[in-house]
Amino acid sequence: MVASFSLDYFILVYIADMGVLQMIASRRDFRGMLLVPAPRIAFLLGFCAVVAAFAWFFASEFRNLSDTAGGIDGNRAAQMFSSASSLAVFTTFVFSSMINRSLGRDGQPSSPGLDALGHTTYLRALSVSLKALWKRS
Amino acid sequence: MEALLSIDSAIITWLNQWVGKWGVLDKAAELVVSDYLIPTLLSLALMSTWFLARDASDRAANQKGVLVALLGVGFSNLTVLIINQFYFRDRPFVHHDLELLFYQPTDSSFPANPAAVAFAIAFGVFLYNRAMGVVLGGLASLWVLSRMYSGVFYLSDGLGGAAIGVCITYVFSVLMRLIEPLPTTVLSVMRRFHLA
Repeated sequence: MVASFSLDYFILVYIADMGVLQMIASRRDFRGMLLVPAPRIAFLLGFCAVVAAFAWFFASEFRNLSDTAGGIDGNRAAQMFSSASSLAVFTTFVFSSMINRSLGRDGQPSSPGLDALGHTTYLRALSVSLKALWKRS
Repeated sequence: MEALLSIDSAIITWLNQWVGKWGVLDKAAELVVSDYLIPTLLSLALMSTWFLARDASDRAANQKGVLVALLGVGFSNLTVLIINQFYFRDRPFVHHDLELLFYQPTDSSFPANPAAVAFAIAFGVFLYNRAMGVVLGGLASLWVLSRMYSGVFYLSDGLGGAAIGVCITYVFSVLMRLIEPLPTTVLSVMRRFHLA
């Protein structure tokens, strides 16, 4: 029961996080982070993912349960949230890098931080930064 | 103290009398009061705050807000845990005939841990991003209000929890400034790996 509740919570956070990341990528024009090439569609799909994840979680079962009756306690919920969020960020970075692999091939210098995702993919930006660090050392 | 307790009792009995009068309001309260809706929304907002900003300097400020909020959450939780070792207050439904919309928690009513955590997040973000902080503060207040309506908190439990969350988070925001340039250095290292 607890395992199933934890898994449901993990799925809720993972899908909602993926949706939020697409909404952010679309709003901030992080083209290298988009899973769908059109930013407006990515925003809409992201929003739908967030709403659908919450609707599924709360409509599929009764969720007001204490941790002694099948629910999960606060610490466990925090652990589930951080692992699901990390996985969502990892999945987004890897898949968006594969989907947008032509982005950033023109050899533009990589901007620092997340701003690089405006003109290149995460994996390409990371590889450029690691190469630069390697050369410097 | 007696006066405070009687005000608390009067507020919760007045609020709880509306339970069962409007089905829609009760359904909404059952959803909002949950352990999983508002905490998850607050955490998602915290993650968005990390990524969202007009430019790199705004983003760096937001990210410091997220770090302060996370430290505030952890230490507010710890503070509530320590207080609970020395002080236990019964939940309102133990002494009043209330209609419950939530399960019966067995831990101390004062200080309210959910209020401490929610207000730590909201205040941490508010210190660096006013607009987002106000939205999160609204969500945190809604959560506390729904818990009172549902019969599991007194007003003073919520206020006590919120005060702990705000004070602890403020202390960490001051510490964050005192230990500069460490936070900025941590963020610059993360920027090198395109994570901040």
